[in-house]
Parts: sequence; C-alpha cells; structure tokens
Amino acid sequence: MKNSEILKEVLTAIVYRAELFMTDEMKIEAKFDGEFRSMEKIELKKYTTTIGIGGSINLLFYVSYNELLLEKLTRAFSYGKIHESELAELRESAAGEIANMILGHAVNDFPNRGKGVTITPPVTVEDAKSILKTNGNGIMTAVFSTPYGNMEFNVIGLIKGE
Amino acid sequence: MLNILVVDDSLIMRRNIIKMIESLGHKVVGEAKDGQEAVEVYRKLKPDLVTMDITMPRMDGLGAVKELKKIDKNAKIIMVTSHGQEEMVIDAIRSGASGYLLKPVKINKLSDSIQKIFPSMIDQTVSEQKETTLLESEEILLPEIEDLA
Repeated sequence: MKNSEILKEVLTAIVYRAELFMTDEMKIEAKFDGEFRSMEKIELKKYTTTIGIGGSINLLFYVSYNELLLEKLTRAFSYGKIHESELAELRESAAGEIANMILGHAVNDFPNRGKGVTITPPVTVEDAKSILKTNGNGIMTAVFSTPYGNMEFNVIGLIKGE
Repeated sequence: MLNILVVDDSLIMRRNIIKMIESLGHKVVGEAKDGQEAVEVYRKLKPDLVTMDITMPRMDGLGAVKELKKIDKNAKIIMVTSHGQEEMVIDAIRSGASGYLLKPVKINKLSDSIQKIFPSMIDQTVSEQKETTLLESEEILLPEIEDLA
C-alpha cells in the first residue's frame, strides 16, 4: 500500500469517527465536505492538538479548532455545569481529549485493523499561527463545518519514494 | 461508599469522572496525572478502587496496573480509555484490570462497572431512582376479589 493511500485510509477512519462523535455525543451538526485535500502546508487555527501515531504506522495527527466551536465542545463534553473561571483551562484539555477520543476510536478502522498501532498523549498548543512546512512529507486534510466554525483534521506522513 | 483514586492525564476527564463518582455517592480520595504518580498515591491512600487511563506520559496505564498489582494483588482497577482496540482490552485484563470502560464515559456505564466489581454496593443514583419510582408511582389499588361462590 502506498503512503498516500495509507494517509487517505487513516483520514477516512478519523472522519467517520469524528462525524459519529460530533453528532451522537456532542449533538453538534458537523458536515464533512467529502474532500480529502493533499496539501503542501497547513495554517494552524487558534487551538491545535497534536498526537503521534506510532508502531506499525508512523504519522502525525493534527486537529485544529475554531475558538467558538471549541468552547461549545468543551461545554458539551463537560459533565455538569462549568464555572466561567474553569473554562480556559478546560478548553485546552477538551481539545486534547476530543482529538484523543476520535483517534482512539478510529484506530480499529486503520489499515490491518490498527494492529500494533500506538498513540501518544495529546499536546495542545494555543495561538499556533505558524505555517507547518513539510520536507518530503505528505499532508492530507479533511475539513468539517459546524454552526460554530470549522475544525480541521490533518495527517502527516512520509511519502518519499512514491 | 467507596474510596476511589482517579488517574488520567486529561484535566477534563479527571473532572468529569470525579463529578460522576461523587454523584454516585462515592468519595474521590485522590487523583493522578500519570501512571507513576498513580503508584505513589496508591501506596499512600490504599483506595478501594482506581479508574485508570491507558495513554499517559511517564508511565502508561498498563504499566501502572502491573505495578499496583505488585503492591496489592487485590487492587481493583477499571481501565478508562479511548483506545477501542481488542488487543488493548485483552492486555489490560491480562495486566490485572477488573473492568474496561470506553471513553466518553457515561455515568450509567461507570455505575454498572462499579456494581460488577462490588456487587454489594448500591450507589446513590440507584437508590435515589428507586425512591423516585416509589414516590412517583400511582396509588396501588388492590384488585377486587371476585366472589366466585
């Protein structure tokens, strides 16, 4: 299987789980436009979570959230009411946990049913306005639109030799 | 009432699980952000039950379960994770976990898991539900016994 095919298969699994999570768990209408875009670079939104996918597959997974959408997700994901003073801290944690959950559930649908795949704990960066450039790596992106803004899923991996 | 230790590197997950545990009528005696901290806290507090995430920095949940079992072979641990892989579940159970919960955690699933490990425990939610059912139920009318004579 080519690297680009692996990227697409991994992102397809992630998109499927993300749709389920957003509609069933968060009760937020999320529409995937159906396009898997191959990118040379990506512009990160205000809140970005990174998770490393290791073991039998070697990729980086980035989820980027609009601020308003992340706030809605944080409130929807929290058990019981949250105090305004808690929101900032919980928002960063929610960004990581939601990305972790979507990816964790998607692993079963990865190539070879995700056998031997490991994932690292999520790392969330606030105000990451940098442009991520790649050297010989492929980037594939899927965009979800919601009434509260977009969220983007990106997988990054080596595509040398293709 | 059980004394419970909550282990997860995610603040929001710890907060959610703690609130659920408290609403079930149990007590959260401690929390930890990784496996290594969980082992240290367990030694000090000797809780009745541990909820344990798998993917964590420093020491993951599977490593922590093995360490806890060395300290206390009767340690009761529920794995709470986003990893839905069958091999991960098997590894967790082999390591000595008593149960396995897939995130996102729901209070009824958490309650069921606790009940399975501690069958004699009736949590607050269950007893409150029973009370509510009794309070809300209409007056029970005994059926008239027909005189068949």
